[in-house]
Order: sequence, then structure tokens, then C-alpha cells
Amino acid sequence: MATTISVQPKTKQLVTRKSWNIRRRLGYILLYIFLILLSVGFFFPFYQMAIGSLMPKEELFKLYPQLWPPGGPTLRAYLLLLHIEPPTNMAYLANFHILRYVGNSLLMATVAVLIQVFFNTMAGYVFAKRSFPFKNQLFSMILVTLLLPTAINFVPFFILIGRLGWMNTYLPFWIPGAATAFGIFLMRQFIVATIPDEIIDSATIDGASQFQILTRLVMPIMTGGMVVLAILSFVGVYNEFVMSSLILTNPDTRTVQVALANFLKSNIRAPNYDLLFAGSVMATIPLLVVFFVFQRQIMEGVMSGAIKG
Amino acid sequence: MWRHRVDYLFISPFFILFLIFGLYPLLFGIQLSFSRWQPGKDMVFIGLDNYKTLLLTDPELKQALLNTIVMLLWILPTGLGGALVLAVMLNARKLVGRSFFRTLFFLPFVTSQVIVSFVFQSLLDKDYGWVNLLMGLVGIPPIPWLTQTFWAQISITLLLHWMGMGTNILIFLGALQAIDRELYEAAEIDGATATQQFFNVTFPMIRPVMLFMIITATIGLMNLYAPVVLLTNGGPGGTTLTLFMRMIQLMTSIRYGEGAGFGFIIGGIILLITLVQMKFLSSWWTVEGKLKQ
Repeated sequence: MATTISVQPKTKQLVTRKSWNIRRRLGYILLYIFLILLSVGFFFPFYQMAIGSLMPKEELFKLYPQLWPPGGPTLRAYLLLLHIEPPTNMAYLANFHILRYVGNSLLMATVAVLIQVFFNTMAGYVFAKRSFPFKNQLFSMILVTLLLPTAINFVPFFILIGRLGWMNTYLPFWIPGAATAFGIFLMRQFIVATIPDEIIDSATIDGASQFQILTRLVMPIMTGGMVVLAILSFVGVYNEFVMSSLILTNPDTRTVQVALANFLKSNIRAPNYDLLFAGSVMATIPLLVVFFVFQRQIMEGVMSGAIKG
Repeated sequence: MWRHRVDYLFISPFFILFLIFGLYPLLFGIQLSFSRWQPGKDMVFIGLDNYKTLLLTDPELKQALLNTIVMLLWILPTGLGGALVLAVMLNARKLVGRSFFRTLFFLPFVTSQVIVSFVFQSLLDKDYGWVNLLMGLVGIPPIPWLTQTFWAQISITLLLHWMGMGTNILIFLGALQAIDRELYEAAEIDGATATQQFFNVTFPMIRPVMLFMIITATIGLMNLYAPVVLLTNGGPGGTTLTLFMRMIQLMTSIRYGEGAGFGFIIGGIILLITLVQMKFLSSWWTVEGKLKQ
């Protein structure tokens, strides 16, 4: 393919082609310079977070910000957060259990993902491979709910959660979102694209039940698609803030996002950036692991969600 | 119907959950928005009073709407335009390291708005932040990023740029790669320059995606919450208050009736803007049937 592209139209004269090549090469050099500078800028907040967590607070507040801690990196912020080093006159820190909050977030996100992937794949399979009365109408109804703005029923939803006694539990993040319009749509697309009708037909003839077909045939084949949905919802639930900050008010149940936000608010005039950054690093590590392991699937999910949605 | 009971069973979770957690709150919200109510007390029907209060006497609604429009004017050209330009660059035929750059720009996708807010707070600090230090090197005086009305809005949009650019680039790249190469080859043979190719081939082909993203960005900005709470707390002087944040304020001060009404006003605004954008840009939508499905 590359060879066909690089073939020049015969009508072009040698001289113009040569100058055009130089111009193009110059263009590429400028492009690289620009992209590299921009990359540095894009990466910098991550660097700031990481290096900031390794600097004592006093050094973070020098007149000029430092690229590297002048007194060498220190793990003090982490030791304080993990209560390995006893907190000095910071009462708030004594009741701040970062690992528990990260654990809460992981628990909330993992269970949400398992539930969502199962129910969405189940519905996606039916819409992709089965035919039954009102199928198209029901599918359109699902898609129409995507147009409902989140804000429209947020307040009454919150009141409902209170009435159900779900405050300070993770149920509001597990149950209402168990089957979502986006998830069903995405899973249907994947199943249509990856699973031929014939194998489902032959399994039906062999007497397999729909549930068996779903769990023993469809799900193993389309693990790839399920991973895409799993990662997108994992990132979404792990990073959720609006609802969690309103629902998870109890110190024991709050997620790491809520805990860190409260930590900032507890000392808004002179934030303990060293501790905040250390906490942020610990909160971000699971996501970075997920990102680097599954980056292809994440990108695929984002692209398919946008273009077809 | 009975024959298909398993099929209906498999799709029933969505519909049951939607009835309980989508439709019921919606209907309850309608009732609530016409009532005065506090938990433990009787609900009193008060007609349009909540809406009257919100629309006529509550200055926050107007302020939040204005903020959203101003921030939208900042974010659409640079956010979407910038992402498109970057996507075109990354789509350059002989670019080495395409996937490296793509991954790097996309990395902020996994970070949380909460954490990004801390990091930007320190980067944009007037006295100790990197941004002012670097700008000082070229002689620009320190900018009060988070404490002055105009700059606070810019700060929020900067954060949103950083978080969303990678996703936008990715979506544009997907659209660009769907364009038939032959169109460019034909244009090249006709002697079209790179710029002409961009405006006459690339741009028309990605219009539907562009429209989708304009609408998504608009809705996203109205629903913005974490960064405005944590980075600027709606301030200074209410200039970074968003519609969603105002609704939460009403809710947490137990003004449920007004909060529910505010939700419908936001919903109405979103619907209106979506329709206007689709109408206004409808020629875009229909010109190219190719990407439309």
C-alpha cells in the first residue's frame, strides 16, 4: 500500500518534485517539533503529580517550582498517608485511610463492571441474534433514553435512593446502571460483527437453552467486546464523583475520589499538596495499569461509542 | 409472545430498571417541581411558583447559563478545532510514532476530574505554579488564574482541554481514517494543495462527527461538576458556576422542589440547544450521506 501512495503523478516535473520534497521534509520536521513540545506539555501534569508526591511540602512552596526535589526525593508523604510514620499534629490524617478508600473504589467499580457486562451482553445478544415481536420498537426505545439529559431526574433520583435506604451503600452504583442503553448498543454491535448466525442455529438444533448459548457460546467468543465495555465502565465508575460525593458521606464507605476531595476541602487555604499528590498517585495507579494493559480496547470503545452513537 | 418469553426475559432488566430509576423519578420530579416539599412533611402544590422563582428572581440561573455559553465559546474552537488539527497531523502518511503520540494525548482519559483539579490547582498557582513561571520567562506578568473572573473561566477550559483532547483526537482520527484515500489522490491529481484538500475533502467528510461532538461538548459543559467545585468552587464571583452545580446547590440546601424544576430547565435548555445546533448545522448533517448510518 505504501508503494502506491508514494508514486508521484507522471505529469509533475523533476524540479518541482524536488523542491516539493524538501518542503515536505521541512514540514515533517516542524510537525515533530510541535508534537514533541505538545507531548511534553500533555505529560507534564502527570510528572507534577508524581514528583510533587516525592517533595516535602516546604519545597513545593518555594518561590519557583522545582523540576526535581532540591533535597532529593522523599517518601515521607506516602509514609504519612499509610500511617507508617506517625502523623504530626494533623488530626485529620489520623482518620484518613487511603488504602481503604482505594479498596472501596476498586470494590465499587469491579462489582459494577461485572453486573453491567453480564446484563448488557445478555440484552445485546437478544437484539443482535433473536427475532421476536416489537424487537425494533423496543430497541429504538432503548436508544431514545440516551437523549434524556442526566440533570432532568437527578434530584428525584437522589430522593429515591434515600427512600430505598441506599445512602452510604454502593447499590446506587450497581443496580440502576446494571443495564444501560450504551452498553446494550455496544454489545449488540460487537455480537453482530463477531458471531455468525450459523453457530447459534446449530446450538439451538442441538437443544441448547438460550441461557446456555449465551454463557457457553456467545460470551466466550466475544470476550474482546466485553473487555471494551468492562474497561469503559470501570474507568467511569472508579472516577465517579458527583453521585458518590452526595451518597457516600460516611467516612467508612467513601471512595478515594470523595476522600481526596474532602481532604482538599479540609484545608483549602494551604492544601497539603505533597499528601494530596501521594494520595492521587495511589488512586491513579490502578487506572494506569488498566490503561496500559487494555489501551487498544479503550481506544476502540471510545471510537465505536462516538462514531456509531 | 409466550414462545419468545426468554427473549423478553433477557431484555427485561433494562426496562424494569428504567421504569424504577428513570421514569418514576421523572414523573415524581414533575410533581415535585410544582410543589413545596421537605422530607417528613406533606407535599404542597404551589403551581408554577418554583419555576417563577428560578426564572424570574434567581440570578444564579442566568449567571450559570451565561458562564456555560462563555466557556463554550472558548472551548469549541480550540478544543474541537485543535483536536481536528492534531488528528490531521497524526494522520500524516509518513508520521513515525503515531501511536506513541496518540496514546500520550489519550492518557488523561483515565484520570479523574478530582485528581486533575488538584494538579491544575498547583500548576496554575499564581506564585508557585509552573505556568506562570514559564510565561514569566518570556516576560508575561503573573496571571491570577484561579482568582480573577476572566482567567478562572480560562483555567476551567484549560483543564477540560487537557482531559478531553485525546478522546476528541481519537474520534476525529477514526473519522479521518474512514475517508477513502482515493478522494485525496483524485484531489492531488487535480492539483489541490494540502489546505484545499483539507477544506474540500476532509472537512465535508467529517461534518457529521463534528456536529455530534459539538452537541456532546455542550451537554458536557452544562453537566460539569467536579472541576468547578474543586478548582474554583464556582467562583470567583460565581463566574465558573455551572448549571449542574447550581442544581446540586439547590438540592443540598433541601430546596427539592426548585432543584427538580431546575433539572427540567437544564433538560429544556439542552434539548433546545441540541435542536438549534442540529437545525443550524442541518446542512452539514445531510450533505454527506456517506458517514451517516
